[in-house]
Amino acid sequence: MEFELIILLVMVAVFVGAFFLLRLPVAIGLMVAAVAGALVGGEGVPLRQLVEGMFAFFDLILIIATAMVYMKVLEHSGVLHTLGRQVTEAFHRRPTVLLMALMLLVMFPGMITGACATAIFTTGALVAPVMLNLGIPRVQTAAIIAMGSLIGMIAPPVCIPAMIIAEGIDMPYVGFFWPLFLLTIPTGLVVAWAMGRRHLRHDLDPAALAAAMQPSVFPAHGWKLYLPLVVLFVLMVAPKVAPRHVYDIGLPLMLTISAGIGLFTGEKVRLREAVQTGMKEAIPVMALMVGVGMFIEVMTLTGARGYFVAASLALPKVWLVVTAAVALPAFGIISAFGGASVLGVPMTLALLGKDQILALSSIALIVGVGEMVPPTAVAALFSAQLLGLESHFPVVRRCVLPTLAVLALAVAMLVWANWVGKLTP
Amino acid sequence: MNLRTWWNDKTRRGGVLLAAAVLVAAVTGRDFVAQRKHFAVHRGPGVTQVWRLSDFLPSLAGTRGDTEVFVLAGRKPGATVLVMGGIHANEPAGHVAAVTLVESAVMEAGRLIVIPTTNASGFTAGDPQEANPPAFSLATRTGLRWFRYGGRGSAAVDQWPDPDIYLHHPSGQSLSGNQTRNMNRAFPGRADGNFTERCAFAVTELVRREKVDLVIDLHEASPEYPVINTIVAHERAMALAVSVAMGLELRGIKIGLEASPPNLRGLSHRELGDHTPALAVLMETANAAEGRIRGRMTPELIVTGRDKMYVKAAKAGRLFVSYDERGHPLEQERVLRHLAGIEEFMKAWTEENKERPLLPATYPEQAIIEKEGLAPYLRASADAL
Repeated sequence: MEFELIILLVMVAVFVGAFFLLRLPVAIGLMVAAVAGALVGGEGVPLRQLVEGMFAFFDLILIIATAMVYMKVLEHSGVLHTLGRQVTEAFHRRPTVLLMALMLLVMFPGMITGACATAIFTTGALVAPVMLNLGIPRVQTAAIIAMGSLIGMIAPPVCIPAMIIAEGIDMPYVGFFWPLFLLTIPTGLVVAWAMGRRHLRHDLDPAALAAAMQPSVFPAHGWKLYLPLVVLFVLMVAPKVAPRHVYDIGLPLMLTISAGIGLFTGEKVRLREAVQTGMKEAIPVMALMVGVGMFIEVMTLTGARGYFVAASLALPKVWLVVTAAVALPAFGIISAFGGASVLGVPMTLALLGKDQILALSSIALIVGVGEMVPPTAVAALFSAQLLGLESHFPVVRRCVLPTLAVLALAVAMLVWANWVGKLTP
Repeated sequence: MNLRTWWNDKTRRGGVLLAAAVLVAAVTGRDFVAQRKHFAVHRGPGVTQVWRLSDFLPSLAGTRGDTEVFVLAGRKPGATVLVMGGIHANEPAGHVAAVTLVESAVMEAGRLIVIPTTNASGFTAGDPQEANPPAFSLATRTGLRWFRYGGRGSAAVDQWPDPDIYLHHPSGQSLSGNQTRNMNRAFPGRADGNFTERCAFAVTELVRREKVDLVIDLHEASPEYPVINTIVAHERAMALAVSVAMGLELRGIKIGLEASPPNLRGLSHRELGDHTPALAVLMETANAAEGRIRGRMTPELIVTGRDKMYVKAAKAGRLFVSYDERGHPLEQERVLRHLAGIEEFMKAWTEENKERPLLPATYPEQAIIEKEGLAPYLRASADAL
């Protein structure tokens, strides 16, 4: 047995032991496993690498922190429940159509930023109360939002895994819109319908519904109430629409500015409480990112990462698609984007000969599935956080079938990429 | 009060954890800041002038993007060639070859301009999750010679945050956000652009103002990358590159030839070729230390290029370059390829432009490098990095 495999097994064993036996949080489990891997690998406790590794997710950590505070401000100012109430009252007679529209709304931030966390913490926060009002249980709501964020991050125009892989093989990110669109938008709508239809209530009594929901604060504040949403939307979309004229200030600053505006546009916001509770809820997720960063860096340092990639690529070519379907999502346990770069690039090169754009689009969707692979399952984790659930595993369970369906679609597209390529212009 | 009771007090526990975090930040912070110390480049016998990149864009002065530009002018007039190393600080054959030229080459006719650390900021930090060692050393006749090993892009402390999408100027091509710090996606650059674009603009200005005839950009690539052991040439430089490839073949160095793709923007060979009168080319060698399949990441891997994971991948037919237990050594193979390539470019240029030659009087010799590495050409460092 190769030494790198031993290191990898030790890291996995320590993580599993810490998480399942000692009941330590996932983040701490990953950190302990990283240190154990480094010790076994003869690197001691490599502080430099442990710190450097976590900086891979520094921007994401800032997004999570500011998004949680932003959400708390929206909650305190009355935006969330008022918007949820208004949308439900307006569209409750056509719940199926509304559900589809909500799904597209969840996917939208992922489509323009390429990150599932953005989708969950922005429009996910808005649609959650509406879905709950429509009768969808809390866990199922979290599951639908998680799936929407996963599919949205792969949907065009911005698909970061596809961009990462395209850059890795010197291929311009051109011609991906329609393949990615066809892979994701219909899929998102079907997934929303399949996951939500059983729970939708078509017989909602307006009076009972009105009584069950929190009172609207719209009469007291008017349209001004929604200013934090409008400002965030403009700040996010403007750099994409007019990139030569509007500077992209970064999502953390956009969220902070929008939260700042939210202090003055609705009900009184208890700022200290909003920040404290927001940060308290964000810390486990931020810590997870820190743990993942350390884990990958130690894998790289000790050669365990190389072993994993080399072993995946060493299989016969006919098995490469199977390997892609298993190893790429498996890498998502630690990082989907990391999987795109580390494994997606050599995997795509090994699959040269297929219609490149379709093959790469399929691999991007397979990479995206990694966001739903437990125990980290970040899409489910963020979504569970959003809905105030204690654990994200019930969300993961609800997502198993739709995730497998998405994976099957991506694999089918990968297998028949050349054939599908002939059908497309 | 027993230990458990003491630890269960939230304020105390928070204090201890905060102190531990501050301690870790202090220890590692010192380590990260130490990487900003550059490796010294000694002025060789052929160096006639030393400029700075900020001479071509004053706003770079005092930033970590400013760097030394060495001029090796011959006694006789001739053409001007620019050699760039270190656009990617994790591709060491480029900057080691450039330093070797500065410290040992002497020009007879024409002018050789060398920038060893073209993206100087990239040498001051590694890439998260790549576990890059901050430095490596080579043996010389007088002791160890230290070099920095950095990241692929400008350091995040010099340019942050990355946008979601990087739009190349002036083409408008979209790339993922982290490419905004990749200098070889930033050419031709702009004077009022971001940090990396300004560094690229300074190079473009140098090429324009100094009327550079030929630009050679030295790179390396991971062994699973298709464009490897190759010259990538702008269409105006293709005829010259063909002569060079033939010349290298005659010296026993097999090299591929690729045309610069017109729809991949921001690369030096594409943009300097399009936006300046210079002929622009780029050379790639095989560097396992930046690859995704590599095993343990050590300074030895950078220098020897020996890696068992790549041997395994080669046996599975997954690489675009042969790979066995001998690896791809930095000195005897990768730097040698670059040095031989530059020499052949000067020779081919001179054959085509006899009235404006590029003739070295002294140049690192292939036979000596094959036998002794770079030891005869490099001076030992005063301090270890």
